[in-house]
Amino acid sequence: MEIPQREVLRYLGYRNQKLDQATARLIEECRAEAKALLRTGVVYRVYPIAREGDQIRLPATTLRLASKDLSRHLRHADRCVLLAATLGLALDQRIAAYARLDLTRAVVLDACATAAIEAFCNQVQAQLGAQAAREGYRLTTRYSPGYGDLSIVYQKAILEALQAYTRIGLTVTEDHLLLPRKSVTAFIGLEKGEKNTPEEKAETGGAHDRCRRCPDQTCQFRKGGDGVETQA
Amino acid sequence: MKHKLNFDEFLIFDGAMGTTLQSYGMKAGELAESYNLKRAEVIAGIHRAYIQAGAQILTTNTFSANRFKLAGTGLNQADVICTAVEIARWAAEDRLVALDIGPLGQLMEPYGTLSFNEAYEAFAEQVRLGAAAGADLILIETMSDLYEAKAAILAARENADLPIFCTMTFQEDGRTLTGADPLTVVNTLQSLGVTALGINCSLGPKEILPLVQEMLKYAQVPVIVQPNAGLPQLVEGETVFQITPAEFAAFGRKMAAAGVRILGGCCGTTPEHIKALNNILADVKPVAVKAPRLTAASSGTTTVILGGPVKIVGERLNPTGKRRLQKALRQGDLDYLLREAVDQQDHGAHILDLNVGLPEIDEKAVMVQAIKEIQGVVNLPLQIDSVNPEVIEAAVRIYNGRPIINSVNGEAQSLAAILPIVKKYGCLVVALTLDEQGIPKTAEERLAIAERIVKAAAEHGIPKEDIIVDCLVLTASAQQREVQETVKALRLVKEKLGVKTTLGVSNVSFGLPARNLLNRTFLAAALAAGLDAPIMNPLDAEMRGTVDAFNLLWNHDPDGKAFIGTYSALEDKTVAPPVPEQRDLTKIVIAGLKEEAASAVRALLQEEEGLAIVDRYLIPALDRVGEGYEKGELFLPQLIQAAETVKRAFAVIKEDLEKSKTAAVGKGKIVIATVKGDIHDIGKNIVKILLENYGFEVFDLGKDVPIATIVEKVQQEEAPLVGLSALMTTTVKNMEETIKALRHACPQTKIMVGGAVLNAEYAEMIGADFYGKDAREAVKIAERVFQPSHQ
Repeated sequence: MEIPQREVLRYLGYRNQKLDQATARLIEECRAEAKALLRTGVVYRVYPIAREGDQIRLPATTLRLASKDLSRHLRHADRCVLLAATLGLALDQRIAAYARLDLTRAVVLDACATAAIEAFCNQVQAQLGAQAAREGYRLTTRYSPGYGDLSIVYQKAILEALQAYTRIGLTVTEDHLLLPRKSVTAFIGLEKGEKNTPEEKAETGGAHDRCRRCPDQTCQFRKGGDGVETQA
Repeated sequence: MKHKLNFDEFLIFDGAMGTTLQSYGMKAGELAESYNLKRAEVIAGIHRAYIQAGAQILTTNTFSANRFKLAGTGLNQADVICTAVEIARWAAEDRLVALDIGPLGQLMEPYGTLSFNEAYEAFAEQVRLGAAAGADLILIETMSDLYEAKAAILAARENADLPIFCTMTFQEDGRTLTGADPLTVVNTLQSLGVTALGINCSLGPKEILPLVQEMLKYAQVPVIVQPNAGLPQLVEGETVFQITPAEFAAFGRKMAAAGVRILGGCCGTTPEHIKALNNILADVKPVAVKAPRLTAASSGTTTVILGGPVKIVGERLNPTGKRRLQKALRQGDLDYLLREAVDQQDHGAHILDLNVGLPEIDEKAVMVQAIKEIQGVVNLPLQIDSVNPEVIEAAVRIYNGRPIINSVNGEAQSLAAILPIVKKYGCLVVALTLDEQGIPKTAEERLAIAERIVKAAAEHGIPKEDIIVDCLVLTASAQQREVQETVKALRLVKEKLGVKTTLGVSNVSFGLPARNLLNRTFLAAALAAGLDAPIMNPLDAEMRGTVDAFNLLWNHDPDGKAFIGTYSALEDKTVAPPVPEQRDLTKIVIAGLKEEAASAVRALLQEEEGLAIVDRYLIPALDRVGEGYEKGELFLPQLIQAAETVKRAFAVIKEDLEKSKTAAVGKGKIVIATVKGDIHDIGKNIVKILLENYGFEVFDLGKDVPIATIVEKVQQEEAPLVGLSALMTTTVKNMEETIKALRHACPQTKIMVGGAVLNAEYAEMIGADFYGKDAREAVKIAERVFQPSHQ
């Protein structure tokens, strides 16, 4: 898996500044270093959805999610993929070491890791999408705890439903942070048939759309606003 | 114990509980342990089915019955565990009941926030309840972090008197999640005194087989294997295991033939799998495998075996005669120590000696902290070097892996204090050939002391393979005649006792010119006499060269590959033309050239005062970089690179100031920390380096810092400003509580906050005085707070 340079730059707050040779070289080194340290793991299952008001329930699990935004995200879906993905501990450990010894490298490697987990999730999603298409389904974008009103308190229950610790070593702290740090949990809706209205098409359009609906208007990583334009 | 374990026959464990419960309608995410209370008959039925299939040991349904997993479920831990043991006992009749203990599901330090002691306490609760309820043995299983396994084993040993089996789970790359290989797992677990060790879960039997074979090469205790019924496959969104009972049993037979004595099943296995396994082993006997005893030290991931190629023990983590390290330790600045550790690792050290003994510091606290931090950054085993047994015990207890203790000697008092620690924690130990009478002059006398130590160790149950003898190097300037006695003693000790050896090589040259020449000549002589692990400076290229050459000449470097790889490249290298010296310090800073900055400052110091350099070059350069960042001309890596460059330049100026006894005038004290629960600290570290560059004295408490620690430090330093960082919405509440506590205890102190989820309004809402949107802003806030008019 390649770590897209463009995304690394975006996470570093790059806005077309002059990229001096040393910094460019550092970024290349870090991309290679991050790639070598990836211990990717993913676990997912497909669940039927039940709805109760603004709650989404996955009857085969103990999950019951109170979230208008998730309900909206999954409103055309009758099933969803529940997914947990991680880059593993090795990268975390290296970033932590650099945070003590070489801060510049820590920051760049951290950005590489952030770009990598997104790229990894995109890769998994593409495979799932192809599989779903064969069965006449299409996928929504990923929706994760922490987006909109979907609380990160649900992380623990999500990991337990997927047995994410024993399968891929993914854990959550008492304060609901995922560890290893570069990890993602997400819901992906499975919708029957083709896309309908232009509005709906836009909604499955990836990060762009997520950013548009996010309340944080000043986020430096915001896409489609003042931030760097990227392909979704 | 009611039943004696008999390893002359195979011991058959039961199979899966969790995956079996799913067929009774257990939901994903539901706690299997809740069935002990609400559906006891289901659990009993599964147990009975395994007994009928031939299992001789039942595993209680308590895998997740720890305080973390039970939190918020409304289940009472004592009820869950006691009931589980009772059900299993009822079903087992006269067979054995193993108290099942799985991982806590939380990552331990340094990866996560769970401390070794917290993990120990959590396991201890389970052990006490299970033992009291009548379990026959303790099964610590599915561990993916060796450090967590160590906490569990110590908890089991210290809170019950039952046999301990411990199994770990491996990934496809042949390592555990936290990176330990099979040798490291075996070396660490068996040194902690488990009855049996092995592998479970993780992979299918086919993938486990080579890992088990590797373990059997080193294991001194019976090996246990409990594979899944194949690799988990995802079929139509469901996890399934696809190996049939017959295939499973066939693998079991292969493992038995390789030397495994205890077998069972993990995820996906059923009573049919166990029955097939039992049948296929009915007509075979366990195979005896003889694994050699090794003298091997381990970190949490890697093992170093003494013998064969020479192993370098890095000597630089020792404050004796090192002023900078002394100062760093006194100030609690462990970054310096970490840098030395990494440097030694990068220069070929295999093991790092760690000594933090200084009269005016709390050696125990610093040692424990240093170990925790070093093992988060380097992968080398450590040699714990202290004269204080209490420090040693605290150190080896929280150490991840199998450490070396430096040292014990022939004095009765030393033997009595150190050997029990060596035994309890399964350490290796350096044995100094000295006693109450000091260091004997002759080789024969030193051998006699070594013999005494080996004998005393044997009385404590410590084999000679766990002892590394140090025949002690004397300085040629004072005791020229005795230098060769050391080499002679070393040879004798190797011949007569067959133990591994170490020496502090550089001692030989104290007080003489051309120390390096003496050191490496002595090193060559000692290596030829059988020295296994010189304690030396790995950064000394000539000493290292001697080791490399020796390895080649003594046939420890097959085909000279390592030697040729290192030295042919060096020979080809022509001398690089000297880089023209860049004199414009401001430009150097902006370009982020760290090395050039140091040499430019040194050059400037010939002509100008250190403080003048700060004012004329460094601060203006920082300002320019900061402005460039604000205007969007520079981006984050460039800003930090420049900040690190300035830091480097400062270090040179500080050294100069200290030499001339001029005290640098700090602009004021600032305490900074990432709040409790939050583990993101890169942003905070950026703030720290910028504040320091602008002349503030920063006390960095790190990440995940308890409220009390922050309050205490602010009070102690009477710091007028505190900087708090939090990245997550959930940890902002801890920030708010920290602010409340600070307001109460130190009403004069100003508080600035920062972090991704914060903004000015939010900062005000939680009661902070200032919001710093980035590190530049933090500097501006600090300058305002410390303005004379403001105070």
